[in-house]
Amino acid sequence: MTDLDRSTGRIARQTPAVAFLHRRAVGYALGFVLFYAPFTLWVTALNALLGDHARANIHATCLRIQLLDLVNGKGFSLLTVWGASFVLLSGSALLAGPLFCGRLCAAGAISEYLSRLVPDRFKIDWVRWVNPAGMRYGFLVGYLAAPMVGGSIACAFCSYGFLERITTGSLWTATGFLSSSAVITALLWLGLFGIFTKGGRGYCAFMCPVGAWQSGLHALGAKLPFTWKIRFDATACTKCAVCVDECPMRALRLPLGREGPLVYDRHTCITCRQCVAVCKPGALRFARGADGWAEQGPDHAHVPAGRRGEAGA
Amino acid sequence: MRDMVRRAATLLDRAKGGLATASLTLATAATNAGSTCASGRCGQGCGFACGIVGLAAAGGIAVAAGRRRMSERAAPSVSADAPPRTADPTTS
Repeated sequence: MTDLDRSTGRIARQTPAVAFLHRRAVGYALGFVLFYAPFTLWVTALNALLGDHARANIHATCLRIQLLDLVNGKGFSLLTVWGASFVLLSGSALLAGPLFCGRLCAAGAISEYLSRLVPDRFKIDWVRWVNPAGMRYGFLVGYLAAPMVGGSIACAFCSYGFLERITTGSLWTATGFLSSSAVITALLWLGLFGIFTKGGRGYCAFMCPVGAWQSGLHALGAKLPFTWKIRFDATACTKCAVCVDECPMRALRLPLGREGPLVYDRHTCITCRQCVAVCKPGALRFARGADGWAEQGPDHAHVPAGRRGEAGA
Repeated sequence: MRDMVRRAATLLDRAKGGLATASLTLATAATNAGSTCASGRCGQGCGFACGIVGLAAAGGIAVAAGRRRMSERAAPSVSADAPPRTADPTTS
């Protein structure tokens, strides 16, 4: 596929969508070497900087394990790998949205990129029928409160952890892990809610509590004028629906017949900016200031999501 | 007033899934359904609680999606018992 690059006047070899996908892939590769064993550059750097001795794998930054420690009375310290990671992750989400999910998380990226290899007719658009925001916030609440009621929803439910087991080879040696419900997680993450879901990020959209935490902070932060967010210029939008089709989280939709304005769900958006990259009229931007979604009038809040597929066709 | 009712209905619709998943997670954790790993460090599998949660959530999503799809087919506009999901009220 080729496309005219208006800035250079040359024919680009890739469409903006594919070019931006490649650009995002660099971020996910970086995220992998930063957070995943055996590299864990993030943990190693923070260990050296803070004098901490956290384990050099993804568990050093795990929200659940550290929360359990907090409930157990071990307390919270900013000058630890987890404390610093937690503050940085939360702060970045508050200021610029879930950038970790959208630009660094290799687990979410794997299912998204693999799903692009599968024809659309084999995929289910779950978000078209079921609102993921409520479910993921529910998981977050349950996930955070589980240690307080004396239980735990743990690593077998974590796609992030599962990926590290695959890449470090520990998946094949830990037969106990494989005989646990982790297999179900893998099937949901990579299968039903992965490659066979439109956008490929069904697991992120419905089940990831870390993403929900960041989305909640983003929803709060986006109300402030100095934070970065996906901004919309309704006057520039041509309702071409390219952004709707490209959004991996299915956070954008158009009404039937494109009779209403574009609708955006900030609670599922991961600010990957794929929509911004493919928006030729420049109606979508990632910038500071008022978001522009509020200027559409009240009617847009009642668009049946079931129309999205037709609008995007 | 009408707008407020509409917003409340939307919020309730959104909260329904959240209440279900939160209750499910907590109930599974509190009853220690299956064996759960307390520290997450054993490396030998965190038991079956996660599977219960995951499968139940997936089943819930599938049933809800199926119901809405069927009701949309039966009444292509809006169905009273299973309305199609609405947009995020916070962005309006």
